[in-house]
Amino acid sequence: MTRYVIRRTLQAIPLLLIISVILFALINLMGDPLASFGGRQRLRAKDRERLTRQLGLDKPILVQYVIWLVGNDWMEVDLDGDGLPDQHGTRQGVLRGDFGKSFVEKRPVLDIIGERVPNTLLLMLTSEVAILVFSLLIGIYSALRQYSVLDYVLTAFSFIGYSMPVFWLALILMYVFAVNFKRWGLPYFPTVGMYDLAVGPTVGQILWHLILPLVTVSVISIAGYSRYVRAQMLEVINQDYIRTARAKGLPRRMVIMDHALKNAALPLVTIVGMDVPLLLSGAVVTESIFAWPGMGRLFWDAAIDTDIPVLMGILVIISILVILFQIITDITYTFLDPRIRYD
Amino acid sequence: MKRTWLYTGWTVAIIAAALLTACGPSPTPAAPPPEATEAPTVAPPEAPTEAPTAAPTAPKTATITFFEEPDSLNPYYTDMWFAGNAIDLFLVGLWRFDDQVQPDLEMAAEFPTVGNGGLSEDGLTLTYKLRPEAKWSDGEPVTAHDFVFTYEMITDEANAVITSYPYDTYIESITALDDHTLQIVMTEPFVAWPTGFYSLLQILPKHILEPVYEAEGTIDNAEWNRNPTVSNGPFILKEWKAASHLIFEANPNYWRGRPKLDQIFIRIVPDTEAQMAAIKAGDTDVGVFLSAADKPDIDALEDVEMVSVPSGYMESWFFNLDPNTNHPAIRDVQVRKAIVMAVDRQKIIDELFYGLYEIPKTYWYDNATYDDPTLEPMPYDPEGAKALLDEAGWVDTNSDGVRDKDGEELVLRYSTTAGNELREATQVVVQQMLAEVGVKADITNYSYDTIWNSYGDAGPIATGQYDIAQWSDGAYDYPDPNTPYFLCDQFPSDESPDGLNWYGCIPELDELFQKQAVTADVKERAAIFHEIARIMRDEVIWIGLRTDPDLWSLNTRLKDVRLSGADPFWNAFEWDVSQ
Repeated sequence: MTRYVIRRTLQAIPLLLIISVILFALINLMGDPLASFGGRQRLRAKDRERLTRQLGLDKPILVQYVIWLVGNDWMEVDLDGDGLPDQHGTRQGVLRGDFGKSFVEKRPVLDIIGERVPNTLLLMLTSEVAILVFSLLIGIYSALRQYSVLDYVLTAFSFIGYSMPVFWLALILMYVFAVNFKRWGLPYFPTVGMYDLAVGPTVGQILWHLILPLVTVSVISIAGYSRYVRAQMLEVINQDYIRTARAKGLPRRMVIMDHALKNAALPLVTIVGMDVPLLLSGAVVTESIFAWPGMGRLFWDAAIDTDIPVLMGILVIISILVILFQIITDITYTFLDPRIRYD
Repeated sequence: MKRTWLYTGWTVAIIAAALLTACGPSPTPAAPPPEATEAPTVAPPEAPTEAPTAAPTAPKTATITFFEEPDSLNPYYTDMWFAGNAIDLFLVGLWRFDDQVQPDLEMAAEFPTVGNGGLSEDGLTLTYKLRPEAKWSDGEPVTAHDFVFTYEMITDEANAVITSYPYDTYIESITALDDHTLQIVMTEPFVAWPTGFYSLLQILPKHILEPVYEAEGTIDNAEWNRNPTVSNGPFILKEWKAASHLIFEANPNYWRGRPKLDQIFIRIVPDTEAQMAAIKAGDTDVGVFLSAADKPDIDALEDVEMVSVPSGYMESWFFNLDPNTNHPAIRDVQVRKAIVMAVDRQKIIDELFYGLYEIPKTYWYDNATYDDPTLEPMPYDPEGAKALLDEAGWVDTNSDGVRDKDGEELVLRYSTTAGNELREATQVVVQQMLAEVGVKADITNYSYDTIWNSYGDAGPIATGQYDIAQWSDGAYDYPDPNTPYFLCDQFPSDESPDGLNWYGCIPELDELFQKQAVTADVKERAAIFHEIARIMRDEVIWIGLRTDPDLWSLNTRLKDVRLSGADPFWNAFEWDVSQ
């Protein structure tokens, strides 16, 4: 097992390098990072030329990649524009933990990402828990009471929920529960933001502001996953060993939780294992509409502005997490299903 | 059991995340929030009304919503409109432009003229008298040395500022004659000095940033750029939570005295619909960049009004006059006239835009000093258009509904930014109106992030792949009337791929624009612009479809808000709320 983990980790390194090369190439094809610098006016030629040099964009793309990876403090660069490379650069490169500075905000990429990560994790982890809890509850209930009225109702809501576009759901929730409830004198939710600025970031405020975005992010996934759980449970419940367990006289709860669910949940682990690293990428639409300051919006804004260091930073971090969680998921299987062994 | 461990792990992670966010990183030592330890599971809803803190008198606050977060709070490191407005709250320069486009003095004690000796006879030397009572928020006096320092920072190559124009081009020398007198000697008469030097832009505090510069060799990474603890405007930054909000507090050391408001909140809300919801729910007092389509919604609200602020921008048509890339028809001024006469601009304004806009007579319609009110726009006259086209030799010989001449069909490329619904709606209406006179408009739009690409980056407009281009534009340095767009040496080519003249070289315009750039007398300069406007109209080089003012929403609880097109928040020190 240890050898398996070591082998997978070593395989991950060249994989990450290849991924970073592909991402760097693709991002550089996206557009001109200086196009967004003009604001309401267009950039002067002289300033464009100076900024190109100061941001290192005048070098060939391969050199830019190498500098991104290993930094330029070991080489001589022309920092003051006189045409002579006579000073050492200031960048240390990703391999030493320096993801560079954002072109737009001119401060370290890791600082920018670090500010947003807690907000995103708060929204996404809570929603992941809500998704798991509710889809298990709804899925198991539907499977056990197959063809009952409630099953049909839940199925119908699943289909409706799954087909809803996120931005529509977000706006409807906002308009009904925040704007209109206030008008009608009912207890109402806030429209935008993480907390009321006049009150401050208390836990109560944040949770209160979290509810509508949480529902938006969760509903669609709950709708999808509950169908999946239902299907898996139905398949498992009709197996012989379940019938044996019931015949043996085991309590109903034990039959469902210990035997049926454990087997039905294995594919769910795969899905959750794929979801967890992507939690960090946030939910762009929900965050934009509810003005929740998260990673999804950061990625979107960086993509619009072609802010290469930020984009590379986010994508590389997510790639690392994806690979890491794939390894973790594979290991988790061995705990859940004794038939699975690696060597 | 392993599953219990898993659930416990999740719960711990969530509690950790909630606590982490509750005491999230704040750049300034804001009041640390009280940390409760309730488990963040499905909590019951809080009390419906979120009244401010239980102090006897609640602080007077105004809330503004922005679509984008400022990328920096140092005015020389950003070009963003939103950043500029946030900066206006805490940083001021010599003067600002009020809602009548007149200078409102801040750090300058008087406006330099030849009469008071502020401007020399030859137009090359400016002497500014500064207000002796002006102070920074930490009590240090504002002096002429701050201005000199700011100039040195802008023009130093070690600082990656967005632009050093016009300081690097026009200033020969800048000296502090004494603590409260600043002298600028220009290399040549820079007639835009009222707007270009330190009016819309602001000064940096020397006593804070000079030590940083001396220690690091640059002010690029100064903490002040993101956390300006010292400022000379009516408010001071109290807190900036990335991507979420900015909080400003009243500055008691402002030279006009403490502003009436206690706090201003700026909330970053990227989505226009979400902003509308916030406006309706009263979660924001000032809404920004509304669209004409929002007028019925705002009219239905009792406590919100829509305010239209002329910004110097016009929704414009630029014609491609470069014979290397344009359609042969567009080279003929009669054809261009016909195209404009075929479009009923007033109808578009009334029906698509609820009558909120006007047909601009000249490029300088929002700038009374330089606008020529006697010039009439071309009339809507489809029959006249048809006659002009017939005369020009464009007739439909093959009965396909589109005119032609010498085997060439009159199909024009009509381009604008993709994804802007009102613009695309306008295009469709225009296309139909043009079809009625036998001109086919081929709508080809480009995405927002490629349409402005320079000639060097194969930008579609810069390389002339259009006949009529439409977007909103105005004088480069509003409220100064100058613009480099029509200078012949700005025409891009392989040798100078960053040129800004994407329309063509018209020698008479080029000559007049060069002349106005060195005419210091305002009346004479205005006369030149009248001449320019006349040529633009008669030769159909630029046509204004409609004005493009900024549409704001104001909650009626805010008083005395007078928004200016150049400096929207110029009178923030006067804003008040009725509680």
